[in-house]
Amino acid sequence: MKRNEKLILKKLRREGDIITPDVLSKVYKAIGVDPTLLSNAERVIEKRLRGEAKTFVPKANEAVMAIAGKKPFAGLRALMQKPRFVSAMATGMAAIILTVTLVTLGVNGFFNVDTTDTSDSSSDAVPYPIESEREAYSIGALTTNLLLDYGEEASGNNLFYEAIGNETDGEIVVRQISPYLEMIEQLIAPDGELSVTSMASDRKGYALKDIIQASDMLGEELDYLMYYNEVAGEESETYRFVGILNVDDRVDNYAVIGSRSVEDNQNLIKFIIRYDDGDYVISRYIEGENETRFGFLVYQDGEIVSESSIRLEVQDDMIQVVLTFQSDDDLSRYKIRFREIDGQPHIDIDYHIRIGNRVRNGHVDIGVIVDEETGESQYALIIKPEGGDEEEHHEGRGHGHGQGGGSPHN
Amino acid sequence: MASELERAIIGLREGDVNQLAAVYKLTSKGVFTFILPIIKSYDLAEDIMQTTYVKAYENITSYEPGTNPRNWILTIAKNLALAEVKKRKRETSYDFTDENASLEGVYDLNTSLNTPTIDLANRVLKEGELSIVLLYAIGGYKHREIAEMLALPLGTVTSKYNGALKKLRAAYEKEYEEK
Repeated sequence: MKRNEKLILKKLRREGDIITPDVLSKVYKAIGVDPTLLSNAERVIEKRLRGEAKTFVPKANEAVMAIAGKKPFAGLRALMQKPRFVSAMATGMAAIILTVTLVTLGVNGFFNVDTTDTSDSSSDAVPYPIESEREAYSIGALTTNLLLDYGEEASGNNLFYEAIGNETDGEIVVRQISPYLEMIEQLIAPDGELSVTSMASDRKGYALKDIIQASDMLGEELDYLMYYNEVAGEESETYRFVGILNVDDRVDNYAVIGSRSVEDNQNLIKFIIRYDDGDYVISRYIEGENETRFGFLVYQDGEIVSESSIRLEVQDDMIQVVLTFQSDDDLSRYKIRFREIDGQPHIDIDYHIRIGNRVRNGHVDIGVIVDEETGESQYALIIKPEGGDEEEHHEGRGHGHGQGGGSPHN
Repeated sequence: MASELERAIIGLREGDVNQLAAVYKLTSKGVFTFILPIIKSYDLAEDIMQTTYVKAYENITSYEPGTNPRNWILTIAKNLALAEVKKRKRETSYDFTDENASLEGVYDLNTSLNTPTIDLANRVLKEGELSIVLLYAIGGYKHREIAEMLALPLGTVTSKYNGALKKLRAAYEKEYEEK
């Protein structure tokens, strides 16, 4: 570069703050010097760098995705109107449930599940008590996670079941309730009442921390950590919360997003927990005077695959769960309690299934079988239809192990 | 007329949470390459970037329409990054010589990613050159914006970038020939 050109460049650089890049570029080119001009080989390097940008820059994590991708809760009502849901049963939802315990009732008309039908509700049952919003958040997050976890582990399998009516009672029952078994265990275990301890967060980015301790039927303890922030919404008595849920010190966390508000004099908590962009569970919890009810929607690949509701009650000092699936005119309802048989813990279920014109009633007894050598455990389900043959089925068990390959044992 | 980013942020401010995806898409490259030179660790920079968006969401009402939306997000990112640096300096238990620290290269990058050219740049460029290359080629910033960020003359930024690419090309060819 000639000396006068260098002087011009120096002057231009000194005045660079008042010269736009476009003008500067033209001037550089006018004097035959283009500092941005690269050789073809260097352009190739630049192109390679740009090509690696997508890989290099981290994708949005679960917390961000949960906020960014979450479907507006206002849209739920419309989604629920889809007829396909209906029969769906199963699954996932449960989790949320927990959310629990918050409040009771409500949900009328929100999910297709008929919440006005209280025929299975025992007259002397009382709502499961939830002490605070924070406890409700934590329980809701925990239950939702259990459903989501089941779906994650069972990915690729025919997880969320839609009853078609020509199966045996055992086939319908097993497919419908399997995703809920671990959650049910933790809800009804007699020695394992959920406890929630709230404290200030020790994790950056979050103000609140809850430790949730639960146990299963065999007395194994499970720890959940939830970190979150709660901010007041623009409307009075409306709050949003954003957080993460860690289960048993696993590396990955689940994003938890939700809100709580008061609508029509009822407390309302909405929840969403995501596994990834298309797989998540949405729950809605409404607190009423006489019961605690939760509604759940399970999404896989962005589609709703299951819709259910759960009611939590206390009867004779024991928690009982009423799990309901409804689609159009079809209905499945399971009344679930803990029972001890010969000193061993069991899950005791009465079911009522109506598909088309056919009504099925029966009983299910669920015990836990532990392999003494491997320590692995299984559920042993004995389905006893009224007026039909008894069926036995074994289902995988284990926290986060999904359905684990159940098999019939006739 | 509001930019696409500003429209997304205003939408988010008005309660449309789905707009956060657009905000992330439009700014994540710039935010990450902005944080990385401060933090010098890929993993930490990732954490701070994610926290930046959660904070932006939580504090969305503090954005004033009409102001520069990217600068608003970068301010959040910068504050979080500087707080992290300050915290790390305080924590004597943090050992920069431990196995997690970078043994080769300017930054402690995530070597499990398939980004050979960026990894090479991390090894052969000086810190000042690398930050400019990342901000320009990955972050999508203009030279003038980088000059403002780094408080350098525009000409210094362009010449450093140019020189860095020449150096990188030479290293790339050498590595390629050796193979």
